[in-house]
Amino acid sequence: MDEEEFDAFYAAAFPRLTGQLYAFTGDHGEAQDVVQEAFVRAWDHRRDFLADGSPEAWIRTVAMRLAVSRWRRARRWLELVRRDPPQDHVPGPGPDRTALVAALRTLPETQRMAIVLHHLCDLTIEQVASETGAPVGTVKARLSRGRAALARRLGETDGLGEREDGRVR
Amino acid sequence: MSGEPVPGGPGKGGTADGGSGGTAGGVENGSELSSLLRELAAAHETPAPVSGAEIRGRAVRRGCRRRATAAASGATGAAALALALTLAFTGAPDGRHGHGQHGHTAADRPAASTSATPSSPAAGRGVPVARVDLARRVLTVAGRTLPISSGAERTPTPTGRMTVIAKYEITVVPGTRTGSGTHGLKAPWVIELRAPGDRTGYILALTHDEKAPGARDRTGGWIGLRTRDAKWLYQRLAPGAAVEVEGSAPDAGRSADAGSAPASPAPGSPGPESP
Repeated sequence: MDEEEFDAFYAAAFPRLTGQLYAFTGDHGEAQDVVQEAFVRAWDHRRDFLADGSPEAWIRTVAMRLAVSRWRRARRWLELVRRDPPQDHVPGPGPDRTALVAALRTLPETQRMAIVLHHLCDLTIEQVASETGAPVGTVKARLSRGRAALARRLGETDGLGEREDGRVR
Repeated sequence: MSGEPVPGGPGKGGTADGGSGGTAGGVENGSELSSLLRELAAAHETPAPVSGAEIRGRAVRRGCRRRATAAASGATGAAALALALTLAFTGAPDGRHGHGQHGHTAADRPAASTSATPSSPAAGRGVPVARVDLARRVLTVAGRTLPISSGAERTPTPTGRMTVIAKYEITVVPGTRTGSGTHGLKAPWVIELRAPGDRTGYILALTHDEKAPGARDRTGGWIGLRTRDAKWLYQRLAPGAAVEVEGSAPDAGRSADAGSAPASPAPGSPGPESP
């Protein structure tokens, strides 16, 4: 991949990947940051990156891992600052958080990653398993638990929330 | 996992963002969830804020020119017990940086591929390749073959994909944590490697046992070379070089001090078979 090809790939894939990472992180700025960083690393490691078969999948994996480690760092920092550990998976503040995003953010990250990879990024269950280093059975369990939890959350907000033009506040 | 929206899709309203309402039941159905996620992702697609050239510039400025070798994957052919060590040299011998962890969070080889290979990596690109075959205990670098000694039974050499992160003309290398009763070693011409999972590997001059390389695996987990070979390698290997370590030492199944030298330590000869 020469410079021109890389630039074209970057321009084409960046928007799609930020959308996917938004679904994973629930934070728009964060999604852009990690995708951008992943592209920087891709150019740095362009041999690996190309040898790997699917450049876009490579970028997505790197971006997701970056998002996970940032999220963990932030949580550890919060724990230090506040002494009392925050609950897991507290949704962060965000102006355009929607019901689905909010529900996604309540999932443990393993479930969230499985859901996003399988249902959004079209990876097969086997691919999700190899991507996340988990057995196929575990991935299936994560998917079904994640879906059930989402359905429950969305069901709750349906009952409780004020609904206007499809938005839940 | 198909993404076709199902009838009765995103409930009333059904905007890209908020289409979750009225769909709680449908979310347990995967396709419903897929279409919701797709809408969500589509609504948050963002055009690239900076140019591709800027991205490439950042990568270059960072100065970590890690050139993985395309040949790394071909190194395995030999045998299950072969340790293949593939070294890529960076062009610049002066690349100084100590950020091993950066490279590895990124380089931990994503496994999934959802589409066919779009293009093959440009072959060659002037990258010399070095290879260590532990069954034969040799390191082949730029046409030269150097004998090596690696970790004994209780102190196996770490394996996996590694990166050269630092070099020391002389330093004390800590014992590996995997072994019991290990001790540090002061050695010259040390090349430090960082492996996934924050493990560390070393290539160094085995000054206390110049006869072990090529003959026995009895180090504390590092890869030992004869002193002059270690110095030679030290001068050629720059930080950032990618290293692939696989397999286990032929002596790994034996006692660390058995000292059972193979019949012929000569480079190129087949090593002893492991049980």
